[in-house]
Amino acid sequence: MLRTKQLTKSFSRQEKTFEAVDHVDFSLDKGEFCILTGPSGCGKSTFFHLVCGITKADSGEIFFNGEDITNYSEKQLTELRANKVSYILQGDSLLSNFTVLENICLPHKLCGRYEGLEEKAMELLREFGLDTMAYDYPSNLSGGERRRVAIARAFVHGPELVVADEPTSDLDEENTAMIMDYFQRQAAEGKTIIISTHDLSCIRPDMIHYVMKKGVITRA
Amino acid sequence: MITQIVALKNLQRRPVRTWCMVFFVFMLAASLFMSSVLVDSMEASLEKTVNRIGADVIVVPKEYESSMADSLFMGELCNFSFDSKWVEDIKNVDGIEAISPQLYMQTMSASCCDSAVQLIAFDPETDFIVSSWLEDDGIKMPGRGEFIVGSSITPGDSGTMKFFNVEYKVIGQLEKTGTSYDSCVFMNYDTAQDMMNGETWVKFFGETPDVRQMVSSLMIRAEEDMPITTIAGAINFKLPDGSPVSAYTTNGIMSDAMASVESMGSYTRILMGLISVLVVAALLCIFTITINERTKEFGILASLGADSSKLSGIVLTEGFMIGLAGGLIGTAVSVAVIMIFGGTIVNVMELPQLNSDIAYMLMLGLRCTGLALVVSVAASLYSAWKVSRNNLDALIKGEEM
Repeated sequence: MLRTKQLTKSFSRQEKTFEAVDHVDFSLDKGEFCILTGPSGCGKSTFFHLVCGITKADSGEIFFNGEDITNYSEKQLTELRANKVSYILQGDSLLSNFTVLENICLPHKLCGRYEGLEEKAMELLREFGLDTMAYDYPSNLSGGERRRVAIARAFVHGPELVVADEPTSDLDEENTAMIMDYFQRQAAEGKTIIISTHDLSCIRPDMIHYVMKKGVITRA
Repeated sequence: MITQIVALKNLQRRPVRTWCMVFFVFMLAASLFMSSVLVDSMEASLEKTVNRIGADVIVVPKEYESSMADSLFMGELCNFSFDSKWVEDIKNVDGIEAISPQLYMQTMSASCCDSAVQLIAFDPETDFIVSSWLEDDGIKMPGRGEFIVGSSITPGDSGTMKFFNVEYKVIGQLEKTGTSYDSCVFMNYDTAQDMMNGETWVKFFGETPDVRQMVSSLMIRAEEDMPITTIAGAINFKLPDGSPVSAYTTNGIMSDAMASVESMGSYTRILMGLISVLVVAALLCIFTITINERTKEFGILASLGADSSKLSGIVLTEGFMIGLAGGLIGTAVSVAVIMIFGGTIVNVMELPQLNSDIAYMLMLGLRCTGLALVVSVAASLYSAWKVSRNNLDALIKGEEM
């Protein structure tokens, strides 16, 4: 499903160049649930940006479903994000001007996808216990509720791969467990999921655990 | 359609920012609309006045040509005159087809008169101006003691008007022309003489002049193909040195008014250009500041697969909606002001008239709204371009564009 080969991305900081992602070889099969841990600043978000086509790699290759997407055009990458790869941003990523239901549906409608979207969104909201808040604005939601809405938005259009950057940060145990349970169920249904976290208590036996340090990813 | 919904929601959920921007566009549209109505009304009134006069050359007392122009254009009251003996010297000039005297009198704002208006006495035997208006409007020639009134004059319930304590019968009202003639009262020379013979006139002015000896303006129509400047020149050449009168072409007598209106139009256009630039600058600043605060919002949309054209489309649509709202509100408020306070504006600004024709205002409203749209969309172009050009990584991180 997802494979990287010698993937490298470097940045300059205070006139020094450092490799945020350093020759990473990584692979993930369909239906696998992978957790990536590592200290802050080790390059997790940059790695996620690379595999989602948000940032261009300096060198190396990225394969998605066997196809080399490293040199995809902006248009191709946009289509990939719109249809196959869902990225859940770190922190609060809801649009404050839109209701919960709109937050889930409008971005996908902007990409031209309408069919069954609202029904699926309501289904997900029910699953997350948020169906009564469908017409509330994000400002009326707690941190955990917002995070669940962002996850519902990432899954509503049925992507093949979901990449979530610290989806449980700042959440209590109950919310963390609810989200991790959902990810696990989705993986069991064939979705490929990769998340990053600092919270090692999130790790469950059937997950694949990778550790990232100074731009290098190794299997734990 | 979804882009419009997203843009509309963004505007609705940020009412202060939205109304600030709409206010700028509103000011532009309203000032453009109002100033256009003022300038267009002045120009139209001037053109109508020149066309309505129907004379090619006008002879008036020297140094009274500006009073004549003010009376014709602005409807200011006047009562100058010269001795009718000069008419004999003028009427034999070559190229004159018709010649007719008019006498101007003004009534008073006193209990003796219904109102202070301009009275114009004409000679039905030679007249080629008032008689043609009467013919067009199907009104018979006024006899002794009878008035014809302009469209702005309202006679009493009994169909009479009182001037210098004498009641006169109003036998007809002219159609609205949008000129100062709308507020004039017309009569023949006999009626004028009767008025001057009246007790109250004598009490006010101390004498009873012979109206046949008095001319305020001598209206002249040139023969076809005869250059009117040649006739005006020939009249002035024929009049002896020291004569108290002078001949002017109609355009010549109105030239100061024409120049004033023309310069007013130029100033207005410059002012509108400056206001447009200011509004573009203000909107550009607001758009740029707010777009910089919204980078994460665009980053979220882009990370979910919205392409750059969709993102810039949202910004442009917001600009379009602000322009449309500002333009329509500006136009609607301006129309309401003109409809409700048109009379007051005319009085306070001493205008001859204000064009409140619905078709004209509709067309002008479309123009003003169109300009408001162009200005607003132009102001949002830079932000739209920035959003579409910025890299996604920076957008997601909320970095300044």
